[in-house]
Amino acid sequence: MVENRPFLSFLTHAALILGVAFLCFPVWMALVASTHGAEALSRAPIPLWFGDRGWENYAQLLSGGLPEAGGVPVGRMMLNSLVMALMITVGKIAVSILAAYAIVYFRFPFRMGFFWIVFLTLMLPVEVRILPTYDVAVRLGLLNSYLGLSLPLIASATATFLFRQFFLTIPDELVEAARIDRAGPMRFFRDILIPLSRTNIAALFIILFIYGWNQYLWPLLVTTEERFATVVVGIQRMTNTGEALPVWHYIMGTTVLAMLPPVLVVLSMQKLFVKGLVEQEK
Amino acid sequence: MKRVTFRHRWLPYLLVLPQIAVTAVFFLWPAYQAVETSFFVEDAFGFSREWVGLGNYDALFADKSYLASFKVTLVFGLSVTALSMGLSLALAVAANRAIRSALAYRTALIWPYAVAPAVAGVLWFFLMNPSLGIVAYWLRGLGVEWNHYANGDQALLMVVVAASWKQISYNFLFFLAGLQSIPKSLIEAAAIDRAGPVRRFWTIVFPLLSPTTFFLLVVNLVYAFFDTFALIHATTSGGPAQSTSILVYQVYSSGFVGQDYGGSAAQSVVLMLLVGVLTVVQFRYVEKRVTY
Amino acid sequence: MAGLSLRGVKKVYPGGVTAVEGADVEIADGEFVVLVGPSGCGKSTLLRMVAGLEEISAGEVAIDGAVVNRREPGERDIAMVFQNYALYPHMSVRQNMAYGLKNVGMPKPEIAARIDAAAKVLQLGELLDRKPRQLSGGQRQRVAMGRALVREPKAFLLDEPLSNLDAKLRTHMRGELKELHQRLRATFLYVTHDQVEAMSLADRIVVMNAGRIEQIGAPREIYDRPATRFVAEFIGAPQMNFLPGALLDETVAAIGLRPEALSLGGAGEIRLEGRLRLVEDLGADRFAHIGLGEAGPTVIARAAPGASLAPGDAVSLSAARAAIHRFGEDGRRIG
Repeated sequence: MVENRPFLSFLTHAALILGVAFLCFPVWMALVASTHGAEALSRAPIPLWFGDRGWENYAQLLSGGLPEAGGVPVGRMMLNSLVMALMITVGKIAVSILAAYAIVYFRFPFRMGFFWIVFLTLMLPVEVRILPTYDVAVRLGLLNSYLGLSLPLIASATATFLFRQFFLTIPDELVEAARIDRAGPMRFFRDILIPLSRTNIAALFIILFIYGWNQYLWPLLVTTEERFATVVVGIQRMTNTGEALPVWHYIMGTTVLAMLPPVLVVLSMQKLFVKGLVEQEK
Repeated sequence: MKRVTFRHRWLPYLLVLPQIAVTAVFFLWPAYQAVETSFFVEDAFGFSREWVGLGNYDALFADKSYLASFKVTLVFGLSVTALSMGLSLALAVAANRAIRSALAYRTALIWPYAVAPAVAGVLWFFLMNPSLGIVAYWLRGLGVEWNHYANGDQALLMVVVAASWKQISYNFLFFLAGLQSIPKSLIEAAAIDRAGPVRRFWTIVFPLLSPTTFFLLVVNLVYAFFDTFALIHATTSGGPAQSTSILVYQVYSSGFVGQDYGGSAAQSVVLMLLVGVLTVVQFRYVEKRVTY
Repeated sequence: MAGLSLRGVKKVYPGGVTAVEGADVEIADGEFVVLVGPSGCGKSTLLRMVAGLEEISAGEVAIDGAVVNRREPGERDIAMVFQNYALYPHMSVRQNMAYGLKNVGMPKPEIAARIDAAAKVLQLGELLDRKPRQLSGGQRQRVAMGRALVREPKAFLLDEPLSNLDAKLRTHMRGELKELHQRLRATFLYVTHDQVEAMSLADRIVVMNAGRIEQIGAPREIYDRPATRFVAEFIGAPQMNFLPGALLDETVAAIGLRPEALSLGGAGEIRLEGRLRLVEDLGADRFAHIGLGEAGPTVIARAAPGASLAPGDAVSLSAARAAIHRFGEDGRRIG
C-alpha cells in the first residue's frame, strides 16, 4: 500500500471482521439450534451455545424424517437434490457445449437464428412463465420424476455464451493443424476442444451445481409426491406447518444439511469457483 | 467470428438440436402460451374460454393490489441492491487493503453465495421469529416491538435483510476483482499528487470501478425482482396483507392459488417485458465492455 | 516426395477483394521454393490454397501430378508448419507428433519408429514427454517441424515458421532448416516476408506484390537482375538507390544502383558529388548516407574499411556504368 496508517489498518480489519460476523451469525444460530431439543427452543431467549442433542437430532433427520414434512428422511431428500443438481449440471454443460461448438465452428443456414433463440432464454426465467411451463410438464407426464425435475432447466444461455467466448479465443491454426492431421469435426471436438475446455467445464460445473441444488420453485411444482421432494423444498414444507408450531431444532438441522454440499463445493474449489463466476459475466 | 470452419451438411443441426428442442418446448412454447392466454378469460372448470382482447391487462392495471405489488417490488429491489452493494463495496475495499490476509477474508466472505435463497430466508425467519428469534429478542430489549407477522414494514425489512445477506458474496467478488484490476501506479500517482486515502477512493477508485458498479446494479435488480421468489414463498408468503408480495410472487399466487389464468398470464407477459428490457440493457453494456 | 504445380491459381474473397491473381508456379521434386513479399501480398493465401485451408477460386493446384482442388487438407499428403506452431497445448510432444498418424490408423510400432527417427534428426529426444508450454520458442519450432516430418509428406508447407523467434535464434534455426532440407531433399514451399530468409534458404524465390507474382528465379538472379523496380527495392538491404535517369545522362525513367556498387572516392565511369549526412557502422560494413546537393536525393554507399568519415564532409562517389539497373515508366526492367 501507498502509506502506512495504523488507524486505517485497524478500521480495515474491524470492517472485515464485522462483515464476516454478520455473514456467519445466522449459520451459527442454525448450528446451535440444531443441537438442542424442543424444550430449549420453546421460549426466548434461545441458547447461543451448543446443546447436547446434536447427534440425536441429525440421526433422526437423516434416517427417520419428520411427520411434519411427510416423514421423508432428509437423507432421501438430499439424494433427490443431488440427483437433480447433477442432472441439471451435466445436462446444461453437454447441451451448451454442443450448441456453442456448432455456432462457432460451422457456417450453416439459420446459425444466427439459433443463436438468438438461445439468447431469448435469458429473458424467460421460469418464475415469469410458471403456469404454462407447468402445463407443458403435465402434458408430457413429467410430474414426479427426476427427468421432470431437471429437463426443463437444462437449456442455458449463459453456459452457451461462456463456451462460445472461450472457443473464440482458441487459435484458428489449431483447427487447421487438426484438419491437416486428418481430424474430422467430431474428432477435433473430442480430442482437442474438450480437453482444452477442461478448466472451463470444471468452473462451470461448480456454478451450475450450486444453481441446480438450490432450485426451489420448479421442484415445488413438479413434485407432489414426497419421495421426490428435494431438501430445499423440504425445509419450506417443515416451516409452513399451518396451525402446528414449527419444530425449529429439526428445521435448523435440515437447513444446515441443505447448505453443506454447495458451501463445501465453493470452499474446497474456491479458485475455480471465483474464476468461473467472475468470467461467466465477462 | 472464426476464419476457419468445418463443412458439414447436417452435423451442426444435430449439435444444436438438444439446446433448441429444450428451449422450444420449455421456454418458447410456454411463453407463447402465456401471451395467448392473456387475451382470454377461462371459466372456473376450464371447459370454455372467451376472447377478451386487452381485458385482462385492463383489469390488471385497475387492480389496486397489483399496483401495490409494483411498488413493493420497487422498494424491495432498490433496498436489496443498495444494501448489499453498499456493504460489499465496503468489504471489498477493506479486503483489497488487507493484502496479506485478503485471501483468508475472501474465503470467509464468499460462501453465502452457495446458500439457496429459500434457505437464507428461513435462517433470518428463525432469527427474527417474534416469539423466540434471538434478533427479535434483542430488538425487544432495545424497545422495538418486532412482529413481522402483523407489521408489513417489518416483514419487508426482514426479507430485504435476508435477500441482501445472500447477495453480498456475489457483489463482493466482483467489486474485489474490479478493485484488483485498477493499476497500482494510478493510486501511487494520486498519492504523489497529495490525495489522501478517502479522496483517492472517491476521485480515482470509484470512477474506475463504475463499469463493475453498473453491471452489478443490473444484476442485483434482476436478482431482487426474479430470484427471490423462493425467499418470499418460504417465509412470509407475500404477507402480511401482501406487504411482501413482489411481482413474481403475485404471478404465482394469482395463477396457482387464485386460479385466475388469464390474469396470471397477463402478469407473465408484463414480467417478460421487464426482464427483456433489463437483459437488453445488461447485454448492450456487456458488449460494450468487451470492445473496451 | 513430389513436385507441385500451381496453374492460374486465383483467390477472390466473397466481398470481391482479389487476394491472388492467377499464380503460375512449377516446383520440382526436392526443390526449396520461398514465397516472399510484403504483408498482404497474397503469399500466405497462396500457400493456404496449396494446403487446402483456403478454397481456390480459379485455377488448379496439383501435387505429384494429381489435381487436389477438391481434396480435404488431410487428404493432400502435405505437412504444414504454422507461424505460431499450432501445437496442441494439452498433448505431449510425442502425442502431438503421433496425432496425425493415429488418425489414419497407422500401427503403433510404426508410429513409434517414425517419432524416434524424427526425434533423432531434430534432437527432440529428451523433450518427447513434455507439454508445449514447457518448451522454449526454438524447441517449439523444432517440434512443429517434427510433427511435419513424421508424416513423410509429399511436400512441406511452411508459413513464416521463424518469425516468432528472436533475431539470434532465427539465424540459428535458418541454418538448421537449410541443413534439414539438404538432408531430406524434400519439396519445401516456404512463406516469409523477410528477404534475408528468402535469399539464404531458397533454391528459387517467388517475389509477390499485391496479389501478383513479380518474378521467379534463383536468389542470385533475383538480386542481380531484378525484373521490376518493386523486386529491386524489396530484395537487398540497405535497399537499392534510385535516381532519375536524367541525372546520369540515361534516357530511362529511373536508374538503380546497389550500395555496394557505389564507392567513395575512386575512379569510375560515373561520378556524383555530395555531402556526407551520417554513417551507420554495422561492424562488418559501414554505410554512408550522402546527400546529393542541398535539396537533392540521398544515396547510400558502402564505405571501404578504414576510411575516415565525418558528417558534413564533401565526398565524391563513383560507379561502373555496367552496375546500373534501368527501369521504365511502368517499373519494368529495361535491358
